[in-house]
Amino acid sequence: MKKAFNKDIAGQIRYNPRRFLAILSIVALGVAFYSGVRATSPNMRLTVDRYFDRFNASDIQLLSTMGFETQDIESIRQLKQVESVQPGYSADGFVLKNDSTLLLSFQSLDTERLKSRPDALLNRPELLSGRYPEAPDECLADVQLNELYGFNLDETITLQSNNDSDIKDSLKLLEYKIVGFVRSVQYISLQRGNSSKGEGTLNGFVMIPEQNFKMEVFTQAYIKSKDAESSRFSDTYQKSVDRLADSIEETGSKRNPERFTKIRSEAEQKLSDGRQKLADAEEQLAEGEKELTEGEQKLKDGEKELAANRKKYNTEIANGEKKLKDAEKELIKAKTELEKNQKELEQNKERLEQAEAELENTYKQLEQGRQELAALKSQIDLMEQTNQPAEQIDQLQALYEQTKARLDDGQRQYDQGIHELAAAKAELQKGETELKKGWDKYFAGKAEYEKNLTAFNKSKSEGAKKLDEAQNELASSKRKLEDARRKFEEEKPDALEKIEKAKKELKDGEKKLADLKEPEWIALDLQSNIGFASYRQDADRIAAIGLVFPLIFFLVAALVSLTTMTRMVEDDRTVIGVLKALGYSRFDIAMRYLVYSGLAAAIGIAIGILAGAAVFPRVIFDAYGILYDLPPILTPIHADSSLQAGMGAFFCAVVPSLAVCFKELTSTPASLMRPRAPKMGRRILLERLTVVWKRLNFSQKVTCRNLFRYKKRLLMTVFGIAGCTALVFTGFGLRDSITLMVPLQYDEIQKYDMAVNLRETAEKQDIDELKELLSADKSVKASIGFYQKGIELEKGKNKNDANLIVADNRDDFKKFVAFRDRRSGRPIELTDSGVVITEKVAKLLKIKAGDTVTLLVPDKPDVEVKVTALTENYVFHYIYMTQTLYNRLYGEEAAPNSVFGQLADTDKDTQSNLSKALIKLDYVSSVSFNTSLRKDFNDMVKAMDIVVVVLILSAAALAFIVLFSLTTINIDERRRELATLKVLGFYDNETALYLYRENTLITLIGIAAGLLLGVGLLSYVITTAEVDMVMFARRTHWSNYILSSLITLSFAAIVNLIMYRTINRIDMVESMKSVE
Amino acid sequence: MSGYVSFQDVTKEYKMGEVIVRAADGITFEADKGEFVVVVGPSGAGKTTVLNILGGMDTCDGGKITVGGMEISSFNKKQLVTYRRHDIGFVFQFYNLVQNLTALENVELAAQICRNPIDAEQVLTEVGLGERMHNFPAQLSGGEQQRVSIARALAKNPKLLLCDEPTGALDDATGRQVLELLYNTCRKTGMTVFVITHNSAITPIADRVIKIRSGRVTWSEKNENPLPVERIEW
Repeated sequence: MKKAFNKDIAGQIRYNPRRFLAILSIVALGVAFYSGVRATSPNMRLTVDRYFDRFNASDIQLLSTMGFETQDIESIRQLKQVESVQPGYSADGFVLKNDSTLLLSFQSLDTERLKSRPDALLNRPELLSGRYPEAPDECLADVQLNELYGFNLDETITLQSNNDSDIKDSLKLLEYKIVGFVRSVQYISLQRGNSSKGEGTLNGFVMIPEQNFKMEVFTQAYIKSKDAESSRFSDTYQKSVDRLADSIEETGSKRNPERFTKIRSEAEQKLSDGRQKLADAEEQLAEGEKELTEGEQKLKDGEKELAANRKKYNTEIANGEKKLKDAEKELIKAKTELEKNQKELEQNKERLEQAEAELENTYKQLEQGRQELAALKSQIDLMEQTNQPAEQIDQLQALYEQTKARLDDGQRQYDQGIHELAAAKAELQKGETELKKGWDKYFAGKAEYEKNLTAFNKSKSEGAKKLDEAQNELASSKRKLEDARRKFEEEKPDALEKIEKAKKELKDGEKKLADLKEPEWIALDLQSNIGFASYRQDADRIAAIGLVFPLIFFLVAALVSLTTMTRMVEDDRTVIGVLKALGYSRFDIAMRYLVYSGLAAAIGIAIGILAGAAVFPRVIFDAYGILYDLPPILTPIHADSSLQAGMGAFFCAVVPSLAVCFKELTSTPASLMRPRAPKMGRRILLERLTVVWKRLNFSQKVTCRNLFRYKKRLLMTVFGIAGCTALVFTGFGLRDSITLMVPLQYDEIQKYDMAVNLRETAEKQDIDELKELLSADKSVKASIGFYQKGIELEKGKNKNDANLIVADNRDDFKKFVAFRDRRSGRPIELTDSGVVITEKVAKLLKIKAGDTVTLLVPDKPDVEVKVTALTENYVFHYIYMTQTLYNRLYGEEAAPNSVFGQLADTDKDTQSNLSKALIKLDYVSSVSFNTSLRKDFNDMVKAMDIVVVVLILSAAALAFIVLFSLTTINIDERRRELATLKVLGFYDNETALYLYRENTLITLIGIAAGLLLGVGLLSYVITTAEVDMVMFARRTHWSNYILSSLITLSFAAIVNLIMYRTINRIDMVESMKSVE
Repeated sequence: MSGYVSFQDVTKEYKMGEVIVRAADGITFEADKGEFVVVVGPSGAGKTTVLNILGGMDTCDGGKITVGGMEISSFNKKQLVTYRRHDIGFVFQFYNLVQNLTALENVELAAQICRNPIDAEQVLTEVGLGERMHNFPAQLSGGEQQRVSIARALAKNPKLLLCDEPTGALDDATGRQVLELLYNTCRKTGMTVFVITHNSAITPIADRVIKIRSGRVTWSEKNENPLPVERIEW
């Protein structure tokens, strides 16, 4: 090349750095965006591929309906496509942590191999902290248990076994110490898969040394394919894995009949054993009953005899007692008579003694009389001797005589008395003798009575004692019998239940045996791994987004470089003419511009590729990072997307300049040296609309006219600004869609604050109790019980998970979940004629209202049902039906197994207290609050913020580059016009305003176009970017329109302000000198 | 010195790359109100510099300039704009019309910003373009364009009308017409008109002739008997 010519090119760059930089930066931006966003998807795939390679991820996880025997594993190992097979065990168990029950998957870990040949271990866990287990009671725990549930190293995980016999049968130990936290290639998303236990959702996994499992057969086998070399996301890989799965299943179809026969005979043996045992048990029960009944009969007989004996005894005793009493009475009578006789006798005796004493007295008196008589006689004799007067003697004699007569009488009486006394005495004597005899007889009688009495008493007490003894004996045997009976009765229901259970088991067993199907092998490839599948979808979505966004930048890049180069070539007309006149070839002259634009493009491309590869994949991956558990993204530079971007950008930059300069190169040197005819003024369409045109003031007219003068530039500017607005709008819109989703979902649609799930084992009374408990709790405003179950919906070839909710009481249920049409906001009625499903799942399955859908409920026949309406919903998928419909479909009641509650207060303390109280109930499996779900989504929104910032920054860059280069060109082209204005005496601000009016109008048009474009772009991005599980809100907040307009407007304003100086630096004198 | 327009020892230097050009090297002259002044001299003599400085498009480095009692050499940038806006009308060799505006609009563009504008349509009719006022510049001939340019300058009703080679791009006949228009305007309105030209054939019609060479006034003289335009030849 010519030296001077090269210098000229270098000089061009030096003198026109702005144009050079404009091309360079728009190309860099476009390339960075394109290659960066395009590279994200492959980088995401590459990251997972490398991660899977590093930890030896299996290609197939093989499950069987009946587990695997060693022989099964061996036969798989024989397959030629199989590189390695790794059998293992797993069991799901409940663990209590901070008052909530977690369902964890316990998986076997081949610790030997982990130590000896770690590279050979399939799905080797990635140790993030701690160490590998060394003792059987040590385990590795899912890092999510640490991050989400707060488990720490050295903490012991204790399995809850009270309601879970299965886990006791599966594992030797129920306590494991966490020695390390790991990440596993099996779980790249935050979901941990499903389980047949509990609510059906696993919260995490734990890896325990293999020897802890005491199962008879392996529950799973990991298989690595020999020829799956290419990326796990490729079709080649999928095909080779499909082939492997086919041959594995073929092996299974050979192995399974054998196992089936064996299993069946074992089952039959077991059944017949069971039957025998049942018969024995029934017999034993009957025997026991019989023995008891016999004993009771004996007891009854004994009681009867005792009663008879007692009666006899009582009669005898009564008789004896009566006799004795009679005897006693006679004795007493005799005694009374005897005593009376004795008393009489004594009275007689007394009287006798008295009579005797009287007689004695009489005798004495008689003696005294006799003496006195003797005295009197002596006195008479004396007197006679003395011859006392006879008269006296006579008197005395008379007295004497009289006394003597009286004495004699006395004597007679006395004698009679004595006689009588003697007779009485004799009689008394006789009486006394008789009395004595009577007493003797009495005493003899009494003695006999007493003897009889003693004998009677003795026999009485002896009889009573005997009777009592008999009674006691009876009572004790009765008690014994009663005890036995009670015990028997107590145990009988148990025994009966056991028997019933055994019978039922037997029946079940028989039914199972009858239903027993051949074991089936299920080969799950990576597509069945929830995490991998959704990751793949996300990567695809990014790829889809990567197609649209960068296109805007590319188009703008092409337009910018076109205008810039056009202007440059036009500026250089004279130079081109001179060069041509000097004899340079067209090619040489074209090179001037190709090198210029090419160089700018090349540098831009290099910067763009480097920056794009470094920035975009990482930012996007980080935004998705909240949904995945993965190592950091790998960001190699992708040859293909870089090359595409590079070529595209180069094409966009160089071809326009080529086109522009060829137009000039075809002209003759002479015409080139002449000034180019100025662009002719033209009336614009608007002027025909006289009504409008007349109303415009002068400057407005001028603005309008000028606006349409440079159509290409107008179009480009509009496009650039529209792109900027659309990007900002999309960014905010995307964020809005996610932000709005939360209040819509949790305030307007799911109006409950709390969901309580019951265990499968919970019964009717449990839910009644729970309801009562909740209605008594002041913090719970209202609650409702209902049935829910995770099911699958099927339509045509498509299947999707959904949560079936059977709303028992429609009107009440409406207070907890709103059914409404999203577009019209009209409420939807749940009727018995069909189900209501949520909008997103309907979209995924391509179901419209009025279509039918097949419900796949585990353990139930598949049924087809009409969809009556689609209801607004944003998170997860639901299918609602009435109890009546459920009844009709499945022929049974859907018993409530969940409760929704509305809280009076949703603060943390209330919730944690309530949660603690509820989780204590053994039939409650989980309590969840919408507050925590809100939090999850707020995290997601935070991730979206990054995306929004990226979009706004890109938009700003776009706007600046476009507006700068276009305004610069505009000013350049109209330098003379602006100078004229200045000469005419326009003040600086007036001159600037002359241009600003145009720019503002263009910006406004661009913004309007951008909002339209943005609405389309947003809806495209939303539909491609949202994951299957959620539906982003389709609403765009009005502020979004204003905000994106204002942001774009402010970008334009900044550019205009910066250009103010340029406008005012236009030199009138210089501008006027040049020829137009 | 007490002319309506007066230059006193005005100097101006331009830097052209590394060379310093002295475009005005102590220019001194004066002119009275209502005079038709012709400034004549060869290319690069400094005529345009004089006109630019007089019109407030440029500033001088030294000396004193007064116009109607205003000392414009001491004006700042903003004062200069105001001065151009109200007191000066410019006519250029290449018309400098705004291509996107019709003849009328071009005149209005100037008229709308000054204090006592003359009605645009009237001015255009006066310069003989009453029929073509709605044409775009590209639809007009050179002479017509120059007339629009003059109309634009006149519409502002300026104190000074400054014309830089107004006939330079025109053929004889048209040039003569344009010159006549300028001359008549001067005579009719009493406006002070400065015409710059390298063509000394025009000088006989001037009230005052100023000859410049190498940045200096070589000859400045009042013409007591100016000839009418139709009498001159070039």
